[in-house]
Amino acid sequence: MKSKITIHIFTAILSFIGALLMIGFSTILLSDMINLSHKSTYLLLGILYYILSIVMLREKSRELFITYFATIFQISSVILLLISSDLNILFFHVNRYYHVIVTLSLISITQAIFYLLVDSRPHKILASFFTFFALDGLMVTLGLGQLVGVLFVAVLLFSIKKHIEIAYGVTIAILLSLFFSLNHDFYFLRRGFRFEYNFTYIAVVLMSVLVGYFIANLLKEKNLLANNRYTIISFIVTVFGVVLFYFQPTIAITMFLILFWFYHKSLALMIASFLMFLFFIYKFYYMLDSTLLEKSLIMMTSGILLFGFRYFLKKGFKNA
Amino acid sequence: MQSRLEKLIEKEDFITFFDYFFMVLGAIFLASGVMFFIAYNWQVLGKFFKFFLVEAGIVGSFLLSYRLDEKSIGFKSSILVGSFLIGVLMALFGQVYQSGAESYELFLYWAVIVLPIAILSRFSWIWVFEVVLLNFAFYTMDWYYIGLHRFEVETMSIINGIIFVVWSILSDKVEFLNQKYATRVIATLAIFWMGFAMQELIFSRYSADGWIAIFSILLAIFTFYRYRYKELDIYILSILVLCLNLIVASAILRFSGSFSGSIITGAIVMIPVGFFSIAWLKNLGEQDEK
Repeated sequence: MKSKITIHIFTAILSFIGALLMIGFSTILLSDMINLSHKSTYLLLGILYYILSIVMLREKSRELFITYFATIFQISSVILLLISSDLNILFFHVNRYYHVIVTLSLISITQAIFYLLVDSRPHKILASFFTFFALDGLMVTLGLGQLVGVLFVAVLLFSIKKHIEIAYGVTIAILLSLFFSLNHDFYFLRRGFRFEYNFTYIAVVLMSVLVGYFIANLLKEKNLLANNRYTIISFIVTVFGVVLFYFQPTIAITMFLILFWFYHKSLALMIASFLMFLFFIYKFYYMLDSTLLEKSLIMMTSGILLFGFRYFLKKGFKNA
Repeated sequence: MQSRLEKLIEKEDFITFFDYFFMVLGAIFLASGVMFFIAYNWQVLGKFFKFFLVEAGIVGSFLLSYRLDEKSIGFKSSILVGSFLIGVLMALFGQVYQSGAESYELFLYWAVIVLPIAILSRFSWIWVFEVVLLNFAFYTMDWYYIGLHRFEVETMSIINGIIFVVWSILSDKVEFLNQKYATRVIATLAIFWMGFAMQELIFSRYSADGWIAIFSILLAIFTFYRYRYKELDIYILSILVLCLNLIVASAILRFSGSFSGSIITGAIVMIPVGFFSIAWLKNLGEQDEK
């Protein structure tokens, strides 16, 4: 199982390198053969690769050779769509939103269709990741950045039964999006789940309710509590969630992801979430919107509360 | 061999998991809170109080480790925290008394002081910590002053390569070194520096240091033989193959002449090479599963 994950990551990296070379190779050949502008060439190739990858993956008997090239074509089609639409203007002329909106919508929609049309698991995960990563950028550009967290957590909770691939894709999209948003000043990613604008409070409450619902359901499903007080637990988690999501949304979401992926048995995503949790604590130190004293109080209170939860859960658990 | 966490996942042991979850995360929150608080008050603290704080941490960690069982997580964590705080104490000393020491001296003396602890504790991760300290020491060393500034990356590659080879050979005989994840960290460091040195060799203008290529080939053969035939490790083989792929791609880009020529040659060579690498590793992965 673990070697499978290593090989999947290895395949993704090599396919990404292959995709870059494939883009260079085919662009040079095509622009030499037919006299097209670079942008039209990119777009044409992007569409061609998109169709090719779907056709390849719809074959019933899939050789490794076919899946490898399908991965290269899938990644290439997304990169080509990005560069054909001048998305790089984003970093220089932030006023021209429509380019960003059209491109990210296109990527999100085409990859969602891709997800529905193919039945290969790694490609579904990749498609789901592209869909939600683009959707994240799109929502932030539209000024709805605060609701991305709510949307992602809701998708995670409600997609899991039949479409675990979506949950994998969403998780990777969340972690990468948060990582980039905290490290770069790119306009459409310049926020974590920071809730600075309009929907702050609604988003915080909705996310906390969703997390509370998940934890209460988990305890009920596994029949863990001796006294069956699931409503109270759900209420306490929601209240704690509101405080944590308000002050440290990035840290709170990674805590939720650790728990979520333990429940769904993915060691790799659990470890990835835990490493991100440590990284966000490190980043929290440098956030300038509150003083070190305030941050220290938030951290210490959270720590004491978690120890308190541990104490009470130990008392309330069956067989503990 | 399954880790404790894997066993918990497999058994769906939520009670133990919640116990760990709240304990580990709570401890991280609390420790970070205390650190933020100290950072907030740092300017107003007296120097003796600062020393007391760090020294109390060191003494406390080692006393705790003395009382705990050698195989417990508590023992391992307290040894690591104590060793880390030794460096903090040295840095604090340098800050308070303005010793004027170079940064490589801090890491080198830190590594020297931690060495007896590593020998006595017989715990693999403290050795990994020691190797990381040596990496920092050699990387921040003033190579220009020594007269070896052209060989900085090459030297890092050789040091890490030798450490990896010695570690791999010793892990057969020394039980505590035979730890999968610690070995992987050491292997990652060695292969990373090997790849970096080869990139230097390929792209550097004055490189006539072909001996690093010979060293890299020998290291790659050793890694392949050891982790393919003696003890199959898909992770180490994956990063080795990835590194070799990148070296070949860089060589093509560098020596193909024109830009478009190098891209076309790169695609024609690298895409099939990538495919065969994946196919080979997948095959090995299937053998490993069986």
